[in-house]
Amino acid sequence: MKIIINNTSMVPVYEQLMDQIKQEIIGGGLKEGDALPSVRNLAGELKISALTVKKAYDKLEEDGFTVTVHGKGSYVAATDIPLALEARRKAVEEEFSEAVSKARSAGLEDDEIREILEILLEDS
Amino acid sequence: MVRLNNLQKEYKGFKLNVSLEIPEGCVTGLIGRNGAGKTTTIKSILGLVKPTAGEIEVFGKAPVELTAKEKQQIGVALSESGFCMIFTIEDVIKVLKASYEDFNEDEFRNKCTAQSLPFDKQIKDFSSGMKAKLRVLTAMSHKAKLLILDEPTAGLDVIARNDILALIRKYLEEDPTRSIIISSHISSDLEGLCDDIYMINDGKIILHEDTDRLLGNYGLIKVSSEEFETLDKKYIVASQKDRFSVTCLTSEKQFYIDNYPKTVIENAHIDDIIVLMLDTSKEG
Amino acid sequence: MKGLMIKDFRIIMNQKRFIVLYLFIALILSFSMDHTFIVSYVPMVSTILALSTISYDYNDNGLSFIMTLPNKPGDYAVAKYIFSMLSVTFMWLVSILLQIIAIMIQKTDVATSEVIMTDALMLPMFLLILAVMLPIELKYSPEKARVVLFIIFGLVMLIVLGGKSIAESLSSSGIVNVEKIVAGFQNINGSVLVIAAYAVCIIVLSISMMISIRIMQNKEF
Repeated sequence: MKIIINNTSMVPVYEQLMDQIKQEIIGGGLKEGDALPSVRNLAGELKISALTVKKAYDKLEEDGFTVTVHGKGSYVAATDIPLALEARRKAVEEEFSEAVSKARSAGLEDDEIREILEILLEDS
Repeated sequence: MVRLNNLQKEYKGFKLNVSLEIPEGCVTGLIGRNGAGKTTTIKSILGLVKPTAGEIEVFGKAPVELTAKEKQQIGVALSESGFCMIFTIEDVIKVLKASYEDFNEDEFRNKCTAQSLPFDKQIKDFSSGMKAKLRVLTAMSHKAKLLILDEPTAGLDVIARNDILALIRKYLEEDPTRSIIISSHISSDLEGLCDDIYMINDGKIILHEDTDRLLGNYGLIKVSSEEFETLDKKYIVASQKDRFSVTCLTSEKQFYIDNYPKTVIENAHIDDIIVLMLDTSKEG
Repeated sequence: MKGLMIKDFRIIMNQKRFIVLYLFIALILSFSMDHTFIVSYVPMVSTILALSTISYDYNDNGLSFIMTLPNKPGDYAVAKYIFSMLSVTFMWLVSILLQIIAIMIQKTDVATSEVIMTDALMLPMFLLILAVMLPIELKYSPEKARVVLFIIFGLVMLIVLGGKSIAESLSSSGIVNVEKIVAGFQNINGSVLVIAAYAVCIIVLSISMMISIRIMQNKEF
């Protein structure tokens, strides 16, 4: 499992943590039933407050990605990954469609829009 | 585990009045300048000094009423006090073995070796880094539920400090019900370790926040004097004017990120928070 | 409390050089001087060593840390009493052994009952010194108390070494008829005197210990 915290980012640490754990779950790095590291263990490894890790874990459970068994720890839930993925795909599609309308109303041609997309994909 | 309710202690020219609470499994940082009251607070918790007024509870009792058995659950590292200077580590081991039921000799030896502490020298010939490590290892040597560390990393170079912080983290991982009170004036050490932080100045607590909020929600906003006039001060906690700009401390940086997108907003570190808060309390 | 006493023991063990020197002097002196000297010298060294553990505790602000060890505040005082009483008593027994060896080697004539009584009275004397010194050292700094200690030991040495001549000069100057007092003492059954000495000793030690416990309970570190 890979987790990298950006301390200079404006995104709160617990959110970064949540996102990255979600990525691992969706990407298959963490499978259903896998145990997440204990709160203290992860906090110690990442050199952050245990409360921050707990916040991330609580939110992950809220969103249905994990299940916490009291006294034992947190485990990856049997979420319907395809559904979660689907929902995210849909959200991305919507944002693309918004961007495309904005681009068109700004007077950009379809070819120019594709060019912009290519450059962005190359950059990251 | 520990509760201070309006604890008051008076010395000549100094008055302490603090309230704080440390629940089980929590790592709490006590940060402040030299002479702010950190050591007095810690000594009060340990029963080394007696309060002028107010209540102190450790494990539910006043510190002086703790039985010898209950005191076994407390591990202590003081900044200016430790074992006799003519002792060697072997002497320390003998005393710890005779004092604490849960003292694990092999583990202690291994840890001292791992930290390169010399077994054949007297403590007076240790470097300050070695002395500090010995104090912390002593506190952690008997499975105490409550660790009280007074400036464990003071005066040490960054590598030694990291070694000690790593030891503390490992101690927490072994048993998540352990609590720690750690005082320091090196806030970067506390940022990566503590769950919540009390800032103490001139004998009073001037701020108490979860570290998560301090690092995640607090922020520094830098504006010109003119912009400062029109800035919505709803979440501005403190500010500091200098010749060319005004630096503000906010407890809700997201508000300003959303509403003032062009403004320079930075993450706040505890040092920044201290400087801005103390500057304000000076004027206040 | 065991930890505190082990600590004191280790402090003394760390002063090996000092101890060896003093024992060496003791051995030499015991063959060149009156053999009763050993029984006052050796326990004296032991008393000084026992009291020195307090100095080491106070040094470098060490007392603050010691009081965080798993003991009640009064335990520090109790441990000091037990430790010093045990070590002085032990060294007193050792010194009697040395005295017996010295007597056998020197093949001197010995008034056995007198020697036994002098020896027997030595122990309560040193225990009384402890009873006086311990509360003083605990309440005030060991440095200040040390002055008192040296004065007391000066007096003890004076009495032991020059007792006879002082007594004679006092008598001849007519101030005090020491002979009458000594005669009076000798009229008292020797064993009664010894028992009385030990009884007084126990009472004074108990009071002293209670005072010391109180001192430690009220002290701030």
